[in-house]
Amino acid sequence: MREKIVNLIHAKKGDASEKPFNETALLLFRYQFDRNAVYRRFCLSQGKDPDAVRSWEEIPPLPVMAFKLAEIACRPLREALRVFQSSGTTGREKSRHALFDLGLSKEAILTNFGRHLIPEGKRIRMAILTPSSEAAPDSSLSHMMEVVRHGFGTGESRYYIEAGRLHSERLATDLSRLREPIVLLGTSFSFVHFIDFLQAQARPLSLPEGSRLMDTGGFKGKSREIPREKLSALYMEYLGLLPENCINEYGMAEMTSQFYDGIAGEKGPRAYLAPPQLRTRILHPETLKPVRKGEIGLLAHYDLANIDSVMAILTEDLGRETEGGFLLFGRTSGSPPKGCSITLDDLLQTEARGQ
Amino acid sequence: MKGYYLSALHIEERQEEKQGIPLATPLLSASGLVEISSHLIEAQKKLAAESIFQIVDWIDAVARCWADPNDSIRQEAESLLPRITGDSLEMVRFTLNDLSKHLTRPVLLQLLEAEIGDPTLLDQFRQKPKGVGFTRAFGPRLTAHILPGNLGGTALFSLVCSLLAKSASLAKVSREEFLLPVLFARSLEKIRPDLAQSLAVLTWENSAIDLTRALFQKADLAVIYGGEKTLEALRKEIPPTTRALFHGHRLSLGVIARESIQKELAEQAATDIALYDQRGCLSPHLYYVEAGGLNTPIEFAQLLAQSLYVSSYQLPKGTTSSEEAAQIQQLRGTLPLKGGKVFPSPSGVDWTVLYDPDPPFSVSPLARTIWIKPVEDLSEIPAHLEAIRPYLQAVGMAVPQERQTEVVLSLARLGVNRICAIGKMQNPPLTWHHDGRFRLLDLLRFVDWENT
Repeated sequence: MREKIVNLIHAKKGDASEKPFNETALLLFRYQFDRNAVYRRFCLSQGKDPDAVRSWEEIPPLPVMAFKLAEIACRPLREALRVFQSSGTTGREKSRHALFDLGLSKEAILTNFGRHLIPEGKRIRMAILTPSSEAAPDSSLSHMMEVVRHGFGTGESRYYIEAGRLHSERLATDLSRLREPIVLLGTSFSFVHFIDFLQAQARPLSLPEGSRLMDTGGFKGKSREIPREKLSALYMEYLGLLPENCINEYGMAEMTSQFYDGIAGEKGPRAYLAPPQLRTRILHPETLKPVRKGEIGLLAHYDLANIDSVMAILTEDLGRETEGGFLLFGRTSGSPPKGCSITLDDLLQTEARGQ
Repeated sequence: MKGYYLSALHIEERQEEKQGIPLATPLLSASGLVEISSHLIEAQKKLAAESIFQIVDWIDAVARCWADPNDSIRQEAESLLPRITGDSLEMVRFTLNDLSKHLTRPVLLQLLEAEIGDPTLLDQFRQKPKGVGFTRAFGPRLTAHILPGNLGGTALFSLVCSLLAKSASLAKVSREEFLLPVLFARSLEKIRPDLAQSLAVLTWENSAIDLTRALFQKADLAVIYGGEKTLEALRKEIPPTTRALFHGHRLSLGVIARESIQKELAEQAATDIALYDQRGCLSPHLYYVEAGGLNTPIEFAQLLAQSLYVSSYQLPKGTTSSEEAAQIQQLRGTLPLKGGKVFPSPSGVDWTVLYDPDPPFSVSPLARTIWIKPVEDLSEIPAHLEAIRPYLQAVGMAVPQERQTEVVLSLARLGVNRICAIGKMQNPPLTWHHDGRFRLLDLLRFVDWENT
């Protein structure tokens, strides 16, 4: 089964037909149903078991919140090589996702990152605006950064966040001395922070041709959020990067594979594109039945690289299908209800004040 | 139609469309708002010269119009509100009937008497019952209202209290709940066009902070409703010479003793949940249900689900947002994994009862989603509420008489400001101390004349 998943990960565009995905998904479903007691309980509560499921679309997606409440793993946690945590905003507990197969995770991350950020396939210098995976062992993003640095980065590649601080001065200096192209990697928020610094110093940069940038989510719980168009304009103004060289990644600590909204250097409409081992269903928020084509719904991801946890995950993210992929319509997690209520962020602040 | 109310002044408009309804919204600038404020302050002189009883009659006349199914403004409300707020027609009718009941002459006089004793204190200097000389109450010349986006009724009461205080009002309403205050202002105008000139109901973006700032500069008093972030942002904009009253979001719940668990109670609880689809600050998020009685807490959860089913016909639910539905689905799917039990509506997310043995208070995603948490003894409850202490509002209580004093006292000490029967949570009297304060008295200033 693992081999089938690896084959899928490496499948070329067009090769990834329905059949191998479906077969592998059904095998994996049976494996996870048998080994993962929490998931099994969930499936049974939904009236689903492997004998009754004929197609991957019938596999019940586990709500992502479950990662906060229970161990979602097919193997004993003491065998885990990494345990990623994310502090979502819809609950006090942290989400925990254990990784047992570093090799598979590496394949999934590198193959897809390469397709979208390094289409020419050559090593390139990287400036990474996250903590290193040593400093943040429970961050899935730092893990991903370490994998891509190792897989595609040159020796001068480095991290620019240390002890929770972004070294803007050092980054600006390094970037201003560049002669060769670079890849900038980080959360959208870390880039906003860096651009604030460049703005304050009136020090716009112009990165060498062939440079590119990958940003990802990362506004969660932050005090301000910047719309995509504005961010693109800032990347252009302060880094000299054209929009086609700036790619957005969408991933979750609970998933092993990632989506990217384009290929560096290629113009064209943006949409989050899945690698062959990953498929997405768009479900009606009230019924959890598939929406009609073109309607907005909840995203349920089926990530076959999630071999030892749960492949099928129901998110709180809203999206709409588009040519070859989907568009995101906000991540609802933590959004305040329209009634008279408080978000958990407020509640956590109260508790923090009380302590 | 006009998506705002402003009489006697002309302002530029933008034509928009909301749920297929063509809507004129105001194009405002800070200087424009200053001009409107000055006009309202001028118009307030007329209102101030009116006797309090005439003002009460004026509001009473509006209430009567709203109670009449043939009234043209009521008909407009019935046809437009469901489309704009997403509420069902039944809910809109309930809201209109309920509002008209609360704004009648006897109810308004009751409020005046409860809060200031002698209503004529608003009209003339009166001998102080104790102490030296005379006293008289004055309202602000201009009150700035930043009204809530969740419930039209709360917004109206805020405006009504300002009218009773003889204050001009400039209200900023939300884009979701603009219609009820606008229609209310139009009804007022229909009866007393001269006095309605002291009222403006407008809308602008929250981000246009210079407009809000300009308004706060001109107002004597600001009454502000909103979530934590709104209050935090607006607090900074209040000039030192403007008084401000803040109404943040609140949380309500229910408490049920083991002796009281029964079918009728579940029906009453379902009414509290169904009304306004839980959007009010008096809507329960959760019931603590005491174990050890003839019926168990989980049986109560089941009874409640049945009652919510009935309510879904009596008071059909309005639209549920994708965000609400997303959160409800997460809870429905995961609660059984941690030992809870879900009693969902048979289709969609019409209602959800979440039985959860984990006792700390949980915030509901609303839209008819209710937590049921068992406790061994009612005395455990205050400890579970400690984390939400500053947000506590109302508690619906079903506890036998002889145990009430203790329960009431512990809840009151914690910060709850209203304790009532289950089934009555959405019907507070106008004299309820909203957020624990005086609704009318807090708006007034008293002038003492020591003439001896």
